Amino acid sequence: MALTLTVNGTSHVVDVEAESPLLWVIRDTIGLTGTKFGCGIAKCGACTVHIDGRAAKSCTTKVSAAVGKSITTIEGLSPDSTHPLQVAWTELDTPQCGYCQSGQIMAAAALLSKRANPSDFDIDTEMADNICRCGTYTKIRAAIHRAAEIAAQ
Amino acid sequence: MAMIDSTRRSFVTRIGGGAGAMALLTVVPHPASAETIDLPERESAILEAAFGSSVLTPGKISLDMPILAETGLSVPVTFKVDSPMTEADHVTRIMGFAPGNPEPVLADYQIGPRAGLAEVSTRIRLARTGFVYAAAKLSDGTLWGTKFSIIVTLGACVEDIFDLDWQRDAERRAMRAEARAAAAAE
Amino acid sequence: MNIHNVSRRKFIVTSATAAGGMMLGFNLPAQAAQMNANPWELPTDKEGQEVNAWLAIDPDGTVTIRVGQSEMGEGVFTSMPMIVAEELHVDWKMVKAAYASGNRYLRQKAEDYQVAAGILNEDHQVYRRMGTGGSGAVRRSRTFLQQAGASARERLKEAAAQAWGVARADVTAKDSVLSSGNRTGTFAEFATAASTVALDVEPVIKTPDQFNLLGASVARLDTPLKVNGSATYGIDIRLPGMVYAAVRANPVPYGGIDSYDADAIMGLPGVIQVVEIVPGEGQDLRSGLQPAVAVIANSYTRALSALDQMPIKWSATPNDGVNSRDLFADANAALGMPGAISVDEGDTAGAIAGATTVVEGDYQAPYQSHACMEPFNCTVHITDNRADVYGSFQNPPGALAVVAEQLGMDPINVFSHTTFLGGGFGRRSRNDEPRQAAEIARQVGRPVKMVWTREEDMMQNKMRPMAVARFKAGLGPDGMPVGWHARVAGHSITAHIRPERIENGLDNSLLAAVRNHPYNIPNQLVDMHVRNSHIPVHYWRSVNASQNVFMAEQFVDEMAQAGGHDPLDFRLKMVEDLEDWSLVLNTLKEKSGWTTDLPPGTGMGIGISEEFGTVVGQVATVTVSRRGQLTIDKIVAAVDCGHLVNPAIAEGQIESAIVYGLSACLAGEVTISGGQVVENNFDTFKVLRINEMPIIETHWALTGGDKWGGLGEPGLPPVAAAVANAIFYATGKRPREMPIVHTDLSWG
Repeated sequence: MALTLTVNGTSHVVDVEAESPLLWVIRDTIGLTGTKFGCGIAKCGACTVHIDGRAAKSCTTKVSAAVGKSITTIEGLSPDSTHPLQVAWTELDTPQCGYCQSGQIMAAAALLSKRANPSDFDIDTEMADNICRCGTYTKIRAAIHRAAEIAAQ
Repeated sequence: MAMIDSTRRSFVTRIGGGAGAMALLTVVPHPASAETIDLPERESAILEAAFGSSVLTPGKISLDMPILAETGLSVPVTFKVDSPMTEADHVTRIMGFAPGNPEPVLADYQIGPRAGLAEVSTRIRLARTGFVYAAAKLSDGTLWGTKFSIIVTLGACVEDIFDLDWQRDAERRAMRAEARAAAAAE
Repeated sequence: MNIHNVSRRKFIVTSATAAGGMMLGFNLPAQAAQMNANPWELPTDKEGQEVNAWLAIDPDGTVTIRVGQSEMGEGVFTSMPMIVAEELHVDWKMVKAAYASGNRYLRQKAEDYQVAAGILNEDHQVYRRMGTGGSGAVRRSRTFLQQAGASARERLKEAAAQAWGVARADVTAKDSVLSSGNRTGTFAEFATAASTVALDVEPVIKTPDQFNLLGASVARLDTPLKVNGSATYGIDIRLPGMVYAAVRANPVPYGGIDSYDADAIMGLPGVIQVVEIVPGEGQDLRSGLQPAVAVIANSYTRALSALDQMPIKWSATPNDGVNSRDLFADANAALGMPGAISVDEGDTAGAIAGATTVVEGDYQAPYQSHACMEPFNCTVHITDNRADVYGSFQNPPGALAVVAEQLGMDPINVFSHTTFLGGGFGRRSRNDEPRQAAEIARQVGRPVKMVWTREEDMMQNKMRPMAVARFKAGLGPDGMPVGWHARVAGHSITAHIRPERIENGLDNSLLAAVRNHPYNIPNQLVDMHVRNSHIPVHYWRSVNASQNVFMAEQFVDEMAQAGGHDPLDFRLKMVEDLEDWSLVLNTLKEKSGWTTDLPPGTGMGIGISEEFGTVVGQVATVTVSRRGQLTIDKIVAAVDCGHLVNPAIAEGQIESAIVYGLSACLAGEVTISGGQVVENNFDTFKVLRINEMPIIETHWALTGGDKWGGLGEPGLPPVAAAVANAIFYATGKRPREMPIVHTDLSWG
């Protein structure tokens, strides 16, 4: 069935089943592969995108539930990797394998939009859904604090 | 004294239009080339015992096997000898060796004109990247041989990964045994 | 996406790392221009002039350095080029990384290839050692990468010398510029001439005291691609005309298929075909190919949805009743019997019998999953006389080999394209997925991307083996050990991968840290039993040491306690003749604020081991509530790997190994029930999350010299022991089983 999705400000008409997970529509139909598949059950956070500004696990979000809403993926966070989180992530060389990092950054962006200067407790609470098997958590935490600093400048 | 010599490095690959495009390269001998059959010592001794000589003339026998194997657990190989296999002119024995194996003899076939075809296929186990040798003795007493290089990738972690640690273990144990012996001697 | 704009680079210095290293970062507003998001392709749109197989120089001065190892987070896309660049004297800002070609590795010999008396090994291939594992990137590649850089530098100098009519010795190379007197030229100007220069003597490579770049924490080259979603992983491959495969095998590994009803789903949207994978004659377990069915559709969602709806009846297998409890019971029973002997020094039984004090301890550890963040996948495209395989490979020539074998093609015509890896940890060196994808593509006849669900990834994983161990030691009147007897029973990877290496039931690799610990004990006996099940096993970060150190290093603490010694001093005394172990222990003592005298409910514990040439010791500080709630507060690590290429990346590897090890130590495990893996996704397979993350401090205790140890794995084994020992001091309870969650830690 034809559905209209707004992803990173661009309107896409996609011919998919209404119950298709948003993740695969973004990746395979629209072709934005920065959003990753990790678990399929909303337990790892690799697929995190923003729907109307809020973090959502796209692997368990039905595409029909995203119609009419504004979807942002890692590719749409900034046009040139200049979002404070991306700058901070780069400064600290945060990623290792990097696979989870799109989801980490999108989850962190949602956190910063709620709390401009999050505490460690805020970070623990909001970022605990996002697994990193390389264990870059220390740098993720530091990079979020650094991004808050950059954004405040 | 260095010199400019454009012909020297004949095996140098030059990158053409992309990462995969290549020109001017040496391909691994495929199948075996007519290099001298320079057997290692252990294998020479085995040949000596089996054939009374370890001097192999390149030719007559060929090895058909892949140039690459992920593991060496079961590698298909065909030994083939150019022989009419008549009563007057036939192969009497074919042997295969892998010097990289703990037990180097891979195959040992005694055959005669009744075999009809001087060709044997089997699967062999290879411990590592290296040469595989084949030797054939003909009814006229001549010895022929060939060699073939195969890459065994094994899997990244598999290649003797703990050797360094075991070497240190052995060194430490030797050092302490010596120290204890010295202490006991006092 | 190969825009190249040097002027946009801004060189900036960023924060100091915990280990004291300075981070030199490149702030790149248009980072995608820096590197190619497809790492198997050239980083720029220039063809580049190759000076040798390792590097090519573009007209604009960009130097592409080829990397034989796979970038899975450990930083080889930065550390390997750094080693070449150290000798090349290139402007580091002009360096980009790309993968070496697996196909070229196969076709071409190394430049200095010579065959002496029939001896040939992997070092004779052009990229020497392709594949990633054994913490070997730096320690096994450094000298030939340095040589490649030095050789290219001297050729560039010689080309300039000849053009200028001066001696090579009068030409200097610095930051991509050649100069002699008042003449200067760029590397790019002389690259073509340099490519034809023959040196009569290859240059001598630098020693560590001459390094300029090595030892600096330069920024990772791959970071810009990993903050904007552009880095291509295997799962991101998209080819024209590509279809998708969702695949499922018998949940009991290697079990067969009784029946399936393809007709039931053929009418579903997008479904193209159902493919059955039938292992061929002689394709045993090692081939990695197992019976499976795959649904092919025009989208992955449709393929997976149809697969879920397709009736499949799995065959009964002899393993349908296998469960972890029985496997452990069997292994524990073996501990009561003498096993294959690995080491037998002195008279261990006599020493223990005559000891003042006898200490005994049993331990166990389960199967463990890799759970790479990127689920298994592979894309294969077969044309008339060529096959291309794309994926996240730790062993690209191996991937090429299995595809060639499965398709019956000459490997010369198979091309493997390695992407960035979404984690590897050893799992991605097994190459079962390219073989399966090749078999599917062979039947489908068009480009196919195969993706496993997380459940398939974990249920068909090739696990870190389970193991149990029993230790018995005798202590003398001074409380120091006089005899050490260790016996291990466990699943053998070697039996699976290289059975020829097992002689008389002995698999030494099962005995990491149990046998090759460095403790000076006069009488030692170590024996073992192989106890395998149908669960396939493979290398897992740090392999058997991941469980053995948990066991052995807890037992060392038990000995220290029984002998009335401080556990850190006890270890120091047993390694006093070893410079590196002593340095690591003393560093730990100093940096951790070591004490066993903390209030109830808090404790410090130590664990130390040596693997791949690197000694790593760790002190864990934990808090345990009276009800048994465990918090890991801090891990202090001291590391001797001899030398560092990139301290920031190295520190990241230690942290990474600690986190990976903590997951397995605390709650992560794989149990078997009904012959199947129970923990098949992140709801049941517990891994460490950010809210459980301790403070980690890494301190370098480098002995230098000839030592160049690995770093990807050695940071892992000590952590579980350090935590377990800390728990003992906090609670008086000793967790003898991994994961620790199974032990009731309540106290008071």
